[in-house]
Amino acid sequence: MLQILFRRLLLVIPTFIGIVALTFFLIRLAPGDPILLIAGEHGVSAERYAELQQQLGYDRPLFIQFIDYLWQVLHGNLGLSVVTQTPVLEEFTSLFPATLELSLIAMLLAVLIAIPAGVMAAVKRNTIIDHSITTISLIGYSMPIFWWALLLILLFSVNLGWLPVAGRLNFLYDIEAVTGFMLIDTLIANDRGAFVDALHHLILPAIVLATIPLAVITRMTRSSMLEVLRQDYIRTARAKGVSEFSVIFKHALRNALIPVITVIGLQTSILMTGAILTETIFSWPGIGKWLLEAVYRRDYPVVQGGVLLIAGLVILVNVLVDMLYVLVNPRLRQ
Amino acid sequence: MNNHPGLLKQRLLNVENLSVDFQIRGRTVTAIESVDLNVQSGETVAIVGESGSGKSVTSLAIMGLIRKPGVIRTGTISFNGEDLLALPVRKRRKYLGKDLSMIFQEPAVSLNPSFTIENQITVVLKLHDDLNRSARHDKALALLAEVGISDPDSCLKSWPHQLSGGMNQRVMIAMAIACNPSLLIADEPTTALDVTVQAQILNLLQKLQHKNNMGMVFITHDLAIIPDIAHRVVVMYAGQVVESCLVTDLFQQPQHPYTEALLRSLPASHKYGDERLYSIKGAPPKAGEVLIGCRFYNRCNYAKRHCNREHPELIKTDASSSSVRCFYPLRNVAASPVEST
Repeated sequence: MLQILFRRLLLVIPTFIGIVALTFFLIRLAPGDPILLIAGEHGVSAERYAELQQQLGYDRPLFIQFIDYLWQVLHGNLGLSVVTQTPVLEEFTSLFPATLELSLIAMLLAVLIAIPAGVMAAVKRNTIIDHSITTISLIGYSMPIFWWALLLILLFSVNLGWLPVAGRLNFLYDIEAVTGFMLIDTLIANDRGAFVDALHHLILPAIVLATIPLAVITRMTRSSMLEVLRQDYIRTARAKGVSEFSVIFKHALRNALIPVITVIGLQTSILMTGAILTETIFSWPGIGKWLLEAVYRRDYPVVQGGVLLIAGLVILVNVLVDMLYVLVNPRLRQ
Repeated sequence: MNNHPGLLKQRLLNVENLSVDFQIRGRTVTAIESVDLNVQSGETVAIVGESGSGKSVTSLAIMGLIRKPGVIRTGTISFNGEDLLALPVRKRRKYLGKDLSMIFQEPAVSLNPSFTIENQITVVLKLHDDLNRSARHDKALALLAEVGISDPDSCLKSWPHQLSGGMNQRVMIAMAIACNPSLLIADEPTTALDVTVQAQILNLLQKLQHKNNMGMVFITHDLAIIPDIAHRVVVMYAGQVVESCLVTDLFQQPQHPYTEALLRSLPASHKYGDERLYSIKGAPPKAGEVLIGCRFYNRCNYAKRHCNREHPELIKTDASSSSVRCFYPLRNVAASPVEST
């Protein structure tokens, strides 16, 4: 177990260097210039431009800039945002809880619905129940997220007026950020109204973000479950007089979940991508929206730092999934 | 199968006229057709036949493990005088693993890879016995010792993939006998094991049978092991019972041409003096193939024209407690006609 962990962590180092290099050069390949964008439509004089360039260090050769940045990163310094002049890490940590809250709720929603739905589809194979579940999940998987989000907003926010269009909390409430998780912070502040409001704000973005993982996990659970239900050991369980419920949810599901866990892990990583889109649509003040704005403004340090931190999270999730995988699959433990 | 007049021994299992169909893509395929089988306490009945002859389907039907697209079309399965097919599922399940248990062909895939051996054995005890946790643990240890596992303690903590095939089969047997079943169905329990282990497992099964006066249905395609284990034999061909007799009669006086052909295909059948190993010509009818006459007609060395047009019934013969499904049962092997390979 420890050896696996160690080997995984060793692989992380080259991965990180690769990610830093990729983002560093790719963002600079894109047209646009942070200084010109800060200057706005009035532009900037040639002298002032040169001065700013020197101040930001962009006048040096690209390779020197890269080595310099890498050196900084190795010392845990992600630099300052060109636009706001606040440390990238600080901005990230203040915004990250919003994204984490949304992602966790979305993933929870997806897993809680997808696994029973997948099991149901497998058990009721080739019935109307199975066909409905399979069809709905195919639609969910194929639906463009932004369009699906707009449909939901139109129905629930505009026409029915049940749910807010955007944001995290109504301006009426002033909640001190203790944990950064709005649901927890409102509870700490003991403001029932704010809690309900935060929950209302969370529903639509969580549904939108959960849609693809929900579809993917459902399909994976179904096929994995079908495979397991065919196995001889399931017949053995039935021959022991085990009830059908226990056969399905204990003897079969435990084995069927092994590949499903991998998919959940992969989907959690992909959720970060989904979050960028979802946060933009719902004006959710998280790192997705932050990163997208940084790209618009060619805020190099923010883009680089943000991508690096997200990559770190993805790697962390993957390592955790690998550990979990070993834990649920006794055949990998030796 | 025939009755034993005057024999009042308690019948443990009595299967009559059992037929199982499978519905595959709108077609009905008959897997077994009016199978009769009875087993008494302390007795072993072997079911012999090649792959697809319906041996396993018969045993699964007795256990109530036929699942869609399979359906039991006709028949009764009475166990200790109670008709299992008439029982509601829940009630029937109470017998499974307790009075009626089964061991399977491939122990390695018949054990759940995600549960420890202890977990898999104690599940049976939990379901059918009123033992607490530590009593279940002790019972599991005792069971493993009984089936000849030398280090029951470490075996209990193991996972199936850590054990050998023979060990896994012993574990399967331990699970099956956990609640002292009155009937044990063994579906080719030694097929996946090597020969030395095979003999050990057979001995173990016999020992357990004597101890508990357990009835046993032993399914195999290996005729050679039958004299060692069985009292009576049921030979199946293409979903039907073609012959049923005492083991001694089977080897000395097979009555159905198929049985005779099977015996001649045994590598050890030197008494026939063949130079080449005998093999039965042709192939059994395909699943779903409808035949009016005898199902063995095409492959039979003794077939007469009439055999193709009428279907033979399973009839009692004069020999002790045996029956055969043939218009022209063989009386005397020594006088067998010309052979055609």
